[in-house]
Amino acid sequence: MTATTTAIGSPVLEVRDLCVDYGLGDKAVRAITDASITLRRGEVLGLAGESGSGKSTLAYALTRLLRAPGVITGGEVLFHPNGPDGTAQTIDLLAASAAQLRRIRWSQLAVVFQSAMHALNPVARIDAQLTDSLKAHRADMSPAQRRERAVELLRMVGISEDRVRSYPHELSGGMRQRVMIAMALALEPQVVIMDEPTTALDVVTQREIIEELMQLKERLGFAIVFITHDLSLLIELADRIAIMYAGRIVEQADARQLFHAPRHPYSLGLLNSFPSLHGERVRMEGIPGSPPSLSTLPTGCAFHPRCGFALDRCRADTPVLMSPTGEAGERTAACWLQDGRQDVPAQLNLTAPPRPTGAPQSDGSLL
Amino acid sequence: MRYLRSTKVILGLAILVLFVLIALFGPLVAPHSAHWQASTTADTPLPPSGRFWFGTDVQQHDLFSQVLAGGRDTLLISLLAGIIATALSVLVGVTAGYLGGIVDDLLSALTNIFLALPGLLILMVVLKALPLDLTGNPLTIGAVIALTAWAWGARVLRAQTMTLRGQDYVEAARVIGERKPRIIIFEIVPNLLPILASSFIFTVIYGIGTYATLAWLGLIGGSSVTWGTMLYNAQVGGALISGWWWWFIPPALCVAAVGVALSLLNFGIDEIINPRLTSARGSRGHRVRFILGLTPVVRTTAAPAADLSLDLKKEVAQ
Repeated sequence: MTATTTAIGSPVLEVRDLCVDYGLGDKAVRAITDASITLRRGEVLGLAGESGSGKSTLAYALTRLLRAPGVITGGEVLFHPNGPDGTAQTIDLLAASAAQLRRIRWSQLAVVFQSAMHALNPVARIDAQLTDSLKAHRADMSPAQRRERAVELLRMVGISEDRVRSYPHELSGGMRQRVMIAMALALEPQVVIMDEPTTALDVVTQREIIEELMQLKERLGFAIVFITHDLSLLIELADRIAIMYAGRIVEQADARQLFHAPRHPYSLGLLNSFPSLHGERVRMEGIPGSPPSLSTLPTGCAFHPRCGFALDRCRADTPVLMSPTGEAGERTAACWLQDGRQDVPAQLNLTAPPRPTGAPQSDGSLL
Repeated sequence: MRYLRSTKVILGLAILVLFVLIALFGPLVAPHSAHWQASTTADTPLPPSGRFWFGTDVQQHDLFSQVLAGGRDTLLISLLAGIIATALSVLVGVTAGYLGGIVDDLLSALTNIFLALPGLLILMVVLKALPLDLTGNPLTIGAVIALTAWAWGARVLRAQTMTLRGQDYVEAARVIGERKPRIIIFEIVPNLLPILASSFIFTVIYGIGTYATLAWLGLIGGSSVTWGTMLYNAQVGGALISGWWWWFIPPALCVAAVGVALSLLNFGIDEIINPRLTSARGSRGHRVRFILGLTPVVRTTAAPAADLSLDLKKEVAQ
């Protein structure tokens, strides 16, 4: 591991070739195969894919929160938090002890879970639940300071001060989800993993929360791993997007590039599955078939039975992530169409329009 | 047969099958009948020998034959007690839990009364009041034991029924106009099966213990030989004082072994109800501890295919 800097843009979380099984021995089912992602400081990395593609398993595994019978069978997860003196440390999360993990979790690496609003204890007031983590990790804070911080956190997510003594059942679902997000941010973590944080909410509330989240991210500078099956949402807010299928990452690209010029047939299928607000009317195509069972994966590329472009090679060999034909840089796709031995179908060979000058990367203007 | 993976279940089933076979065929394969006497003049029990495997008692009965013959009534009575008590507890518990209101109040009061009554005392009073030939009948004894065994199951089932009653699928069934008996039988009872199964097994264990106790107290009439009556005879014959251990140890061990077998089976039922128990324990040969919040890392030796893909990736990166 080379020395890392703490500058914006340097890696803060690196996952390399992570493999996860459910079960042990010959009954094990491989849920994640050789997943590699890199999260940089201040960046939003989106993870998208159908149900059962391994998005949540990946998030749980890299935080070591995966429940039995989940087992991590290979790879490494390196976390580079800023140390107290401003220099970056490197912590191998897969080798960390329970005590080490307890110190890192929440204070440096926080998670907002799927339907997290049900995680609030119904008989405790939300200020007590908000200040619990402060009590544990910031022992030098006085009760008055903690109370102040709780109010500040709630204000941060747009909940007024008088709600601080409420019980969870007195808040709406959206407010409870905001409380959970505030709770995750209470100790100013450097990485926040969000597993479908807004799935249970209506689109209006969802937008409000996402906008607040993005503002907070700009202000506090944390990085986000954002997991969702809502690709349209992801394209708006993520800097980079990784698409998962059957436990593998099949494409990784800049959000703009992925939206305008997907390189993997599965990404193309996902993008064709939701309508665009502008432009001409086109017939929605979707992806034929359904995701494969992880216990009986097709040979070769797991996507070939549903893929309109499948080659003979796709049935035999499993593609690995590589730079697509004629492209340098960071984007990768796991598809034999992109290995340079044949012409790439036109739909998978588009070029993204140049970025409008001066516009920020994720300003919602893409759609 | 995926439920046969657990050692506990296999052991429990094996012991139970052995005793069921003894109950069915024991009297037929026994060397003598239970009432056969080796001698009518001798009055000292003989210790175990090649001729009498478990020795003899004071009246020179062959104890091995008696142990083989004694299982039938014990198992039959405890099984009957289990069936009757479980049926009663479903009837009272589910009815009370589903109907609610005044019916629930009355049935709950009845359940609480039976819970508060001292079981053994009631059994003694009831059995004393019955004519002697009735107390020798397995069905009567089973029913009487069931009388003191149903209340606890009824309470548990009532509570679970009340929870299930509020579930969306039950409310949906009510809204579309399914009749109460149909809702109870098709929507509620199948969900109670796990509780029913383990409460049935516990009642059978209770039945075995209670029947042995009643017999030991001399409250069982009739001439049938059971493990319980063997213990009674040993007690009356002074086996404990005189150190004739072969008289009371075998029947006592039989009672204990059946109880252990049934408890082991109950573990199996637990695993069927909650598959996480099995998966969390891991299969044999894998010593992996699952701790909540600390996913285990088990690095399997990389398969050749995985190595290849790694190399490929490096090539691509270069």
